[in-house]
Amino acid sequence: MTQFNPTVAAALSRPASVHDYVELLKPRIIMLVVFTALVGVVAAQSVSGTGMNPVMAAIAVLAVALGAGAAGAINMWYDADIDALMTRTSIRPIPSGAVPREEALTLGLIMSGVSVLLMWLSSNALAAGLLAVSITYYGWFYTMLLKRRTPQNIVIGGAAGAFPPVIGWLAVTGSAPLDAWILFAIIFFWTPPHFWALSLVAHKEYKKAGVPMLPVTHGAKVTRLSVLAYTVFLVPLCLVPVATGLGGWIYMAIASLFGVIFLGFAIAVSRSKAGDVDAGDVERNLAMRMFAWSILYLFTMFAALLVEHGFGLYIPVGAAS
Amino acid sequence: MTEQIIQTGRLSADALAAQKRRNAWLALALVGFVILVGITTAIRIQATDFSKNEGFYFSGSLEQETRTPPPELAPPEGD
Repeated sequence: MTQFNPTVAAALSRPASVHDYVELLKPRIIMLVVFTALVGVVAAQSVSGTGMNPVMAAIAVLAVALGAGAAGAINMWYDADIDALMTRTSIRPIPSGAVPREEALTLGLIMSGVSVLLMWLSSNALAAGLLAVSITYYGWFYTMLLKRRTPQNIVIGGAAGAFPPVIGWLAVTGSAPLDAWILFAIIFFWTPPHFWALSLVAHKEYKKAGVPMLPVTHGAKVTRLSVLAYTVFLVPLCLVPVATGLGGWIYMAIASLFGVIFLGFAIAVSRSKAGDVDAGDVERNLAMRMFAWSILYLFTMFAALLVEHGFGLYIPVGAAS
Repeated sequence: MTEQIIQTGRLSADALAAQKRRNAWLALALVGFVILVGITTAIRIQATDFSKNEGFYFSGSLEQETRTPPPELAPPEGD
């Protein structure tokens, strides 16, 4: 016998569509994760000379996508209470009443198991293990431990999004050399300026929800300087693949040009009033433009690696000079 | 003794249709998972050389047993 449950009734008041469940998996993050994992798979084959069955490679990338979706669902399950308090996230499937909270957790846990199993079957135990670690890192370590406790949540939590190219590399070769960890480092140090640029605009929302983002705990000025500091470190870091031979001429050209523009945004934001109480639309637009550019910056650098190693356009910088 | 009235949540036509769609997607996902496991298994079997003991799910030894040849039979003694 089933007791009448007002919560369930409320949830059923808006029938959940397949789209709601897709939203639960954070599809935009999945796209970025899949793309960086794919670059890891392609670059690993090119650099190491180790071939991987294309069907197995596709299944391995699918496993990474499922793992990212699983972590996203677990994140939405845990953060449903604070998501309901912020305008940007209040339309998500759980706070909007479309998907019951426990279903999100169930989906996340099942997908976690399926993704790790598929990764193991399609590649090796090491790649599957690292995928399990990355899901745990995001779903438990970042979401449950860091996010609500420290303003460094984004810095430490950024590692979760940096694992995919290493997992892709591991899936092909069974090992993770320096080049794989350089890709990890690029995403790791890209995450803070990327996210803090957004938080300069959305800091009132985070304050309302009690999330200790850097602009909430240390103010906008410290955040703007932190954005600049990380960017100053990130831009030269993005040229390290050229030195190791992972990136060729195309990569170097894009990383240099887009890096200089990104640095320009960081300098402009650091000199602006973005995030301040008296900040206007111009400052807010500047921070949002930097946020958007950061996505383009990372995407084009990884696309350059994909083109060089996947389409035979790699020309080593040293050999061509 | 009083009977407790229990209200049960009834699904509307829209909710029922949405539930059916979700069930169909779940079934599709399960079938997809089975197919993917099948594909990975088939590819692994093709890529495995069982004669070299590169085991595939089987962790035991596949080395051929060496048997000592039977001693030659002595010729039967004549009468």
